[in-house]
Amino acid sequence: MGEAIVITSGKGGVGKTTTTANIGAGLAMEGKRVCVIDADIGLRNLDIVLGLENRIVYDIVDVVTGACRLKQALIKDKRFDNLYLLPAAQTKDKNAINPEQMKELITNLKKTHDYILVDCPAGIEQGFKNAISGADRAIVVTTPEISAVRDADRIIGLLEAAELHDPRLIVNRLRVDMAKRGDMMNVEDIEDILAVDLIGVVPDDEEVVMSTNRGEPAVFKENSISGMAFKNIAKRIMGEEIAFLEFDVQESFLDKLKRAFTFNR
Amino acid sequence: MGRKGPAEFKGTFNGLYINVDSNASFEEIILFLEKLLKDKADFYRGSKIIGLTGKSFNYREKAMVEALIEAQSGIEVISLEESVSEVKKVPETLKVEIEKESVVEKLVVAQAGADTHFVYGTMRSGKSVHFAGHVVVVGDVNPGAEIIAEGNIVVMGRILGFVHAGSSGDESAVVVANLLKPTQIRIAKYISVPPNDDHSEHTVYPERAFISEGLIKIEKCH
Repeated sequence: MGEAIVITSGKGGVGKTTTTANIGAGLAMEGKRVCVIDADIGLRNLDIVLGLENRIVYDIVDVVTGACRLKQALIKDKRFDNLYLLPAAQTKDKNAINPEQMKELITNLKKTHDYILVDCPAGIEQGFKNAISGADRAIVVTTPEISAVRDADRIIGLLEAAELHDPRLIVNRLRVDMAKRGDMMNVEDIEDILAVDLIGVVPDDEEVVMSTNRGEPAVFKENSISGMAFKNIAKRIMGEEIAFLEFDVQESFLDKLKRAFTFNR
Repeated sequence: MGRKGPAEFKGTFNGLYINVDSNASFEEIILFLEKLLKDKADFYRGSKIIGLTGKSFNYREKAMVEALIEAQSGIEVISLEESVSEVKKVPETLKVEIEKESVVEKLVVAQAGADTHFVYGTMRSGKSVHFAGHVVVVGDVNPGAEIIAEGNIVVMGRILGFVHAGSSGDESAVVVANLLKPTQIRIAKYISVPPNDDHSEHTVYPERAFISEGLIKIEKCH
């Protein structure tokens, strides 16, 4: 029996889709059977980030309406045999499915996969409600901006109301140099206001932009700092020791990043 | 308790509460509400539901009840949060004694009849509490959350959101918090915002806000 994790944020553009793609790929690299679901019906993106856009035949709406079997809609990743994508429909909207259907779909996927990652759409409406139904736990992605943190706070409240307790937090796109200077919120500030446990910090990295455009998640890159961050998050999801040492690990690798910055100057 | 079914509407000055039988199942409640609303839709038209007593509903149940009420009647649903159902009044004997002390009298007696709503845990953005009495929060009030109370507001934590004490005009209402840094604070008809150049982030002592000479003042709480 697998585990379903929803990746959500409230605010758009903080990196939910990129995070889903990278964590999914990271878990697959660890040998887990992973299925990533794009719940952003009407604005599908996850297929592009994974570089699987041109392989789509059926989508999530086809599955829930019975137009095809679940297996037919699953797209196998180019790089990993154990990573699958269930794409969103592009020509429908969020009301094309309901939470009960989503729950049933995830229950079925859990039988054949170790991890089901649901890429949640921005907002708190129907799409959000669909995406969180059926999830066993939640990961909230935020960036070090007040608006993103505010939305994350709202989302955590809604998750708690939906009985998804103890969500974990990813701080994405941290500019370490700016945070050190005090020009940007730092991780402690964010943790202080949101009061949830951190599962990872991903530094702002040009590599992510490039890899997203190429359809190659950053985790595949050996020497990418953000790829490493995502890989660590995947390991923490699997419950590896690394989660316990979270803060030290983060610190040392942020320090490393800082050194890289100083060196470049 | 003279109840006719598993649920009933209770009118208060601010609006209606849904009082449900804590032993009734959700199905019983919703079926009963549906019938009640059908029969008495005209009677309740234009009123507001501000809370729930007797039981708390989860996320989905709240959504269902809200949808039912709004579809079946002209009632506006403001909140379905559970409110404290038992009104804790000061016993008669105590009241008599207080009345003897003329200085304290006004303050205490004025507040004795009002009940208190407790919120446990952090109030996150989007969370709203409206209450016709005092509100006590054991936790933080984050930015984007709001408390509107007719009485006092006491927060055992930080106030970073919006608070309005004495919302029906009580100028003796106060706001107390371990850290008072609201986005906006109102007491009765007065509104105040913290100064922009406020860099005193390390005030680690509790503060109290109150009205004095037509202004909201904030002072260290002893």
